[in-house]
Amino acid sequence: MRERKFKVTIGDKTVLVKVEEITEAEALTVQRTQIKPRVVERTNEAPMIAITQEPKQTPSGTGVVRAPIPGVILSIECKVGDKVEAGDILLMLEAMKMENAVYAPKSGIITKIVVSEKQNVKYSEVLLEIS
Amino acid sequence: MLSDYFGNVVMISIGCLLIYLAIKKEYEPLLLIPIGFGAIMVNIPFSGLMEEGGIFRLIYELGILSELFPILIFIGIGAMTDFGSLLERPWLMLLAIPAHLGIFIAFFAALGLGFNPLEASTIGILGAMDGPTAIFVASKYAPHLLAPITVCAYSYIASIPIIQIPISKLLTTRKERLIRMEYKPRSYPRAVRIIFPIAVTLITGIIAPAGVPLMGALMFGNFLKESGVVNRLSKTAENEISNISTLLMGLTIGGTMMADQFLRFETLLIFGLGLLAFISALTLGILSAKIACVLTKGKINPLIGATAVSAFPMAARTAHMIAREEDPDNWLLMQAMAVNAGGQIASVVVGGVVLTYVALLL
Repeated sequence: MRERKFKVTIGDKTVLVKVEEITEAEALTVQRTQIKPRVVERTNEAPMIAITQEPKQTPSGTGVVRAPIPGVILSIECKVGDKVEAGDILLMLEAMKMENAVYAPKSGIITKIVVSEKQNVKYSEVLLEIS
Repeated sequence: MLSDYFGNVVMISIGCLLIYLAIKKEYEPLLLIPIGFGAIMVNIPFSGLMEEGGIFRLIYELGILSELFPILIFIGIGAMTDFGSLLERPWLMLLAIPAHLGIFIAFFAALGLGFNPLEASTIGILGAMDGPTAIFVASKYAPHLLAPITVCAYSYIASIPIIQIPISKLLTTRKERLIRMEYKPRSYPRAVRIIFPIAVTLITGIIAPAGVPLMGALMFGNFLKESGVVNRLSKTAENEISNISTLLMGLTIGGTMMADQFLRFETLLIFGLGLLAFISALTLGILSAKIACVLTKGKINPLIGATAVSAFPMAARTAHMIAREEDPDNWLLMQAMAVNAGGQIASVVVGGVVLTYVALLL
């Protein structure tokens, strides 16, 4: 589609990023079909760049991920021992018939997954932990 | 001779376009597929579908002019809708009042363009962004405009993200969009869920008696679900009744899209005024949410104002999505759904008010 390549340099490291432009209406479909934004190509030793807009800094730095709203766990996109970057999709949560991706609040290793697929979760219930 | 049928060719193409949008873009496929196919069928010369005794004519008179299908569909919608998030924070429903004033803007614009008051009311109701309500009012006040009104309502409802996203971004600042709304789950007795549909029917029925068929149907469907003892009935309302009515209603609305009636300047005007109604409703909703934001010292994210009319639940999802786009940790969904469910109820009330009082005033 409307795909363009960008070279991003941070310090002395350079990353090649492929960016595909989509319309806002398509963004809804992307969200629905769970397409995960990812870095397509990168040079060796280059730092990973999270494409999601401004990954949130959790001030406490705790890796406990809680349910932001009540819903049902549709799918779990990671497993214990996986290394995740801030902004990676951890799991899909269905609430009010809408599928939502829950992103990693920080980078680290998944140490514990408390919930299972198809499980109902309450607001603020612990979902998983990142070291 | 052949040029006599040029309009039919245009209408068959429009039918194909609706089908294309439904399949390719997933624009309200449940409605646009039957509407598009119905439009193709009825525009084949000498098919006689909409003539006296024709099968579309029969379904049209029995199901649409009689208002049966919108009512049955509302029973289904009621059974599908969870008003729980609204019951947890009912004050958010207040946002629905200013948002529905958008109806007046389209109403006066339609009067100014030469539509009569009943037609103008029907066009104004498009601003409530609710398909069955628009059909219900149109079948009473302006049955000759049923086809353009219905196609207009459903096309715009299907494209709600395309309309809502730019308006929301234009009218709010980034700081406002980043506002997080604290989610406090509240518990309330189960009796509240059971009493709610009955109370809404009674209260709104006294305010606007002519709206009882619509509101009563919506709340009856919800009552089937919340009563908890007639699961079979609530499942039937949600699935079979709503599916059969949608199918037949769509096909026959397509049947009203006959070239000589649809291909008029009026249709273009209705599409223009419908867009004006949608934009006014979204704008007023967001602006009043901005005022609410100031009054509550920044506790309300103005994005949820755009969900204060109907277009349920797409408007709420879109507001939630806009907020998450800038801050993935901002979850507005529950609050947006509450406003949107309140907007759905308010739209039906407004339909009832128009049916009760416009007729009295004329």
